[in-house]
Amino acid sequence: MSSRAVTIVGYVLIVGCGVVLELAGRLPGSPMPSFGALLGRVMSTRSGRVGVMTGWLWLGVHFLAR
Amino acid sequence: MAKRGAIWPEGRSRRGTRRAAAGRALGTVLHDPVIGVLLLAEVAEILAGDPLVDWLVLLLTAAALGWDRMGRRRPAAGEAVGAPTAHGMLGRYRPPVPAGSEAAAQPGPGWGDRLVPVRLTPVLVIGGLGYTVAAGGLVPFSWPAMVAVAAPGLVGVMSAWRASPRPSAQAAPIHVGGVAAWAAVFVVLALWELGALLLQPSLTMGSPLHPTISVLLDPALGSHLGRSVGFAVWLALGWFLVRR
Repeated sequence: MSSRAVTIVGYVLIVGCGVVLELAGRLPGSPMPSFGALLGRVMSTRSGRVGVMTGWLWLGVHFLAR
Repeated sequence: MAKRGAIWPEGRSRRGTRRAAAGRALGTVLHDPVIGVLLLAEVAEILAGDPLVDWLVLLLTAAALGWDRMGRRRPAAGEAVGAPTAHGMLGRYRPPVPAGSEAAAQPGPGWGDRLVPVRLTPVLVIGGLGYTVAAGGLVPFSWPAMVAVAAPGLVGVMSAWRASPRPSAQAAPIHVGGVAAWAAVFVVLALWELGALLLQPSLTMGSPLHPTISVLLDPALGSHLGRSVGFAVWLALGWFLVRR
């Protein structure tokens, strides 16, 4: 397997872990929070909301503005 | 000498007070994990040789949050400690709505306390699609492209600053193990990306053998259609976040 393939498989596995956590969080009675619940908790404070939105702005600048 | 002796203790005391105040202020700022994360990301941006605007966004936000946090530690006369002050960037904090009230149970109609509509309307959808088509056609690495990102981006950040906290989100209990699991995913992703970045020929030159996420997305974002789709996804994500 080439270095490129290993790198891409790594990304896929990490995203896959996120998907598994999300599915686990959506199970009834699961102690695992869904990503939305986690986001809601983080965004319950001003600094959390502004931090998340700044991350979103940074994504736009990084991928779309240049 | 007698005169100097009378002055020095006071000067030392004043310096000590200033140092203590500066130490307390620094502790207050660094106590906020969001500010810490923004500063760490900014350092990473500088080390990676990214353009000034990339890390300036993070630095200015961290500075504004630190300023706001220190302001909250200095209550005005009659104001409770911890209450957001009126000197915040937009200074329009509204007290949280009681959790049991009708207003807390339902999002406000129309715009609510956000700077953008919280409900999906035909005007919003058509306007957003037109924006994505126009913005997708702008030349990458140009100032018009930067403005096309910065305009909605700054509205989103200012809206987040202005919005009242959602009582339901504050009250929701979160399992610590679950938070740790999510944090682990993001930390591993960051380390994997960092590994790919360090394996490039240089920090500013992408490698097809060890692609970062940016390198992987470059072909998709290289065309008008791809950039328009990218803008659409980014704007939709921003609208989703602003509504929360």
